[in-house]
Amino acid sequence: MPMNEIIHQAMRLKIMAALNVLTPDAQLEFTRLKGLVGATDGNLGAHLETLEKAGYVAIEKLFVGKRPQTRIKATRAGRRAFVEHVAQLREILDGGGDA
Amino acid sequence: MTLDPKEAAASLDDIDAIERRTRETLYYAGTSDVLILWGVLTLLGHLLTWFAPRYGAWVWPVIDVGGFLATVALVARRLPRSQWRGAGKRWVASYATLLAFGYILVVELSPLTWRQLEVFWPTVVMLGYVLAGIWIGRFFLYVGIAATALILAGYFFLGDGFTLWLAFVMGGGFLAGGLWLRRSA
Repeated sequence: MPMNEIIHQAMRLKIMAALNVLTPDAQLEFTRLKGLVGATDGNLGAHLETLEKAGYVAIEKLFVGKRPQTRIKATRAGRRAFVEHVAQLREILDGGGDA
Repeated sequence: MTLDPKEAAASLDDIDAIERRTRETLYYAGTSDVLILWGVLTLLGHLLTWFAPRYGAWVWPVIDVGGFLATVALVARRLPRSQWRGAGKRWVASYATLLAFGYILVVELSPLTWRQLEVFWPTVVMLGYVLAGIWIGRFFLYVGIAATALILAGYFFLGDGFTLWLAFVMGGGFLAGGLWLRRSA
C-alpha cells in the first residue's frame, strides 16, 4: 500500500496525532493546537486547509462572546487514515516492508 | 514515496511526543481546579487541626468526603459527557480505590498515633500522584515525589510543628501547583 502523502507531511502528521488523542466528538481550539504542534498561524492554517480538503478534519468557526474562535476535530476518515499510516510506519520499522 | 526504518522511527517518535504533550495539556487544564480545591481544603484542615486539635477527629472525615464529592462534581462538569463516561469515571474509580486501600490499611494497623495518621494519608495521596504522573504527565510525577520527600522530612525531623508543615507543603503546594497548571494549560 502506498504511503499517504497528505498525512505523512511532518506538520500534518503532528496535527493528526494531536487531534487523534481527543474523543470522537471533541474539538481542539486553533491557538491550543498551534502551541502543541509548534506552528505559526499561517503555517497551521495552510495545513489545516489541506487536511480539510482531504476530508480528514472538520473546522468550525464561531464567536465566543465577541471573539472569533476556530475549533478543529478529526473526522472519522481522518482518524482511519492516521491509524493506517501509523500501522504502515510500524511495519516499516519492524522490517515488514517499505513504501 | 520510500521510507527507511530510520525515517519511520523518527515519525513514530514525533507522533509519541505530540500525543504525550496533547494528553498533558488536556489533563493539566482539567485538573487545575481540582488541585486548587484540595489546596484550600488541606490548608484549612491542617490549620484547624493545629489551632483547634479537639476538632481534628471530625474535621478530616468532613473534608475527605466533601472534597471527594466536590472533585467528582468538578470533573463531571469540566469533561464532555463522552470523556466522563470513559476516562473520567476510571480516574474517580482509581482515586476511590486508593482511598479504600488506605482506609483498610489504617483499620488493620490500628491503633496508630495522630502523627502516624498525619504522615500516612498525605503519602497515600502522593502515591496516587506518582502513578498518575507515570501515565499522564511529568508534572504530577514531580509533585508526588517532591511532596513525599518533604512530608517524610517533616515527619522525621520536625517536632510539634509537623501539622503546620503539612499545611504549608500540602495546602500551599496544591494551591501553587493548581495555579501554575491553570496558567500553563
